[in-house]
Amino acid sequence: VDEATRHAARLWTLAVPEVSAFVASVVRDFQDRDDILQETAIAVIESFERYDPAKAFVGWAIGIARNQVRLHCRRKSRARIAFDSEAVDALAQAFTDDAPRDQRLDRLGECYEELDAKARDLCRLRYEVGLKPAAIAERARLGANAVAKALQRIRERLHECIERKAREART
Amino acid sequence: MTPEISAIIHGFLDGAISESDEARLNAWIKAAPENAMAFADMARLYDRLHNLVQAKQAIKPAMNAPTARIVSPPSGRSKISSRRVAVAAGGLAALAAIVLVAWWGGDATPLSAAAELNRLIDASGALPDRTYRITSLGPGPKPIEARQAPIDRATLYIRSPDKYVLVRRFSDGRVYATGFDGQRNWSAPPDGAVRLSHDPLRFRWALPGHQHGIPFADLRSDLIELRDAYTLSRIAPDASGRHGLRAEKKSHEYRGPNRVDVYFDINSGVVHRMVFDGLPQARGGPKSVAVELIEQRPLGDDFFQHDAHHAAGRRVVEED
Repeated sequence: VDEATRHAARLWTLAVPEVSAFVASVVRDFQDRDDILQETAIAVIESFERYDPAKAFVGWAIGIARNQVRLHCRRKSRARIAFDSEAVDALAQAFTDDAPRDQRLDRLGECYEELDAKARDLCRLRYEVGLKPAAIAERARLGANAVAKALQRIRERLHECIERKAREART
Repeated sequence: MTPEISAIIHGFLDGAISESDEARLNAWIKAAPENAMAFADMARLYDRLHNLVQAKQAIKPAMNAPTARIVSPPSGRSKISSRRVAVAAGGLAALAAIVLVAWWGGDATPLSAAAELNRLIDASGALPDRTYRITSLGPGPKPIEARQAPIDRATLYIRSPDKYVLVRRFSDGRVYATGFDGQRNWSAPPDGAVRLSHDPLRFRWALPGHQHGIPFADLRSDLIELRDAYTLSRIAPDASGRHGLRAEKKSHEYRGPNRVDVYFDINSGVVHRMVFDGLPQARGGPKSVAVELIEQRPLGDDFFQHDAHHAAGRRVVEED
């Protein structure tokens, strides 16, 4: 393996969280996300010679991911992008510009451990089993709105927690 | 951000909003860069939370069957998806590891490190009893407390899936044994009471890597953690020609040692040597240890019971 490929692999590894979040934000489905990420990784390595080192690698990789999202949706009729291309542009820019802030999420594991058992169980059903709020509601014998609200509150609580921990770390 | 937009963002991420709300969200994202950043912020959390929950479930020993069934992708998935089956529910960490291995493998074929680790995982449930010698590598801090027995030159006896006896020796020859008999963890210090506990983590802190999630005695669960939370690569075989894998931690979210090297017999699946590097030292342990196979022989039915490792008549305290 040549040095350029090694370099590409290193940069890709660092960029993966941001690219992954971008892809997930436009396709939402994690199976689609994983498929698109794999195709993006291949495209990144194959076209690395066209990368301009003067520019942010994350932005370049997100651009490639964007193309892969489009190709993926064309191949699979069930996959759909909810946003128009102008909104996707805005998101690609936001993920590129704000990438350094992603380090705050390194504290997500600690914050997750602070959730109560019920909240963690909801997370398990949503993120491990892959159920949507209506399906969780059936299992938990709750209303779908109640589940959706509970998931929202959990994410907001986690968001507040990582922000707080980031502030504490700074001080 | 208004509460209404916030609810729409969360509803969108959970796949539970109407098309009209999607259109509103689309317009809101385009309206200002700050809006797009606020959305990106929550989408990052959503994505990372998914990875975190997946990884936490994947590293649980002997994953419970109903969960495993639900997580398994449906049959008939694409070729790409079948690779994901190979890494089970490991999520992004495993995915990135596989991707890296695929292009960093040098003379190794793509995915070979992950495939070999999967073979080890499959084989780990049916291995004979094994005896390992633990050695500290390089100078490490001395035990903080005099009553702590050193891990250096300790002997570790293992029976799959998770029974173990760890025998440490003080410099004056006294023995401190801890273990798990399949039901209870136990601790038999050289003096004082022998203690028993159903708490799965009780008395295990001395095991190499245990404090940070790689308790070695439960090999299958260790290997699953390596597969899902570490970047894998093949390394040169050892002097005996045994295959080598290197696992390097991908993220601080995972608690394991920074790096683990594994040398194993490709045919039997027996691990002959593991080197844990970047271990926690808060309790006085070494930074790096090697765990080396010294013997494979049946250890007897009662070997993993506490009373096989202390004098008769000792006071025994059941903690729970």
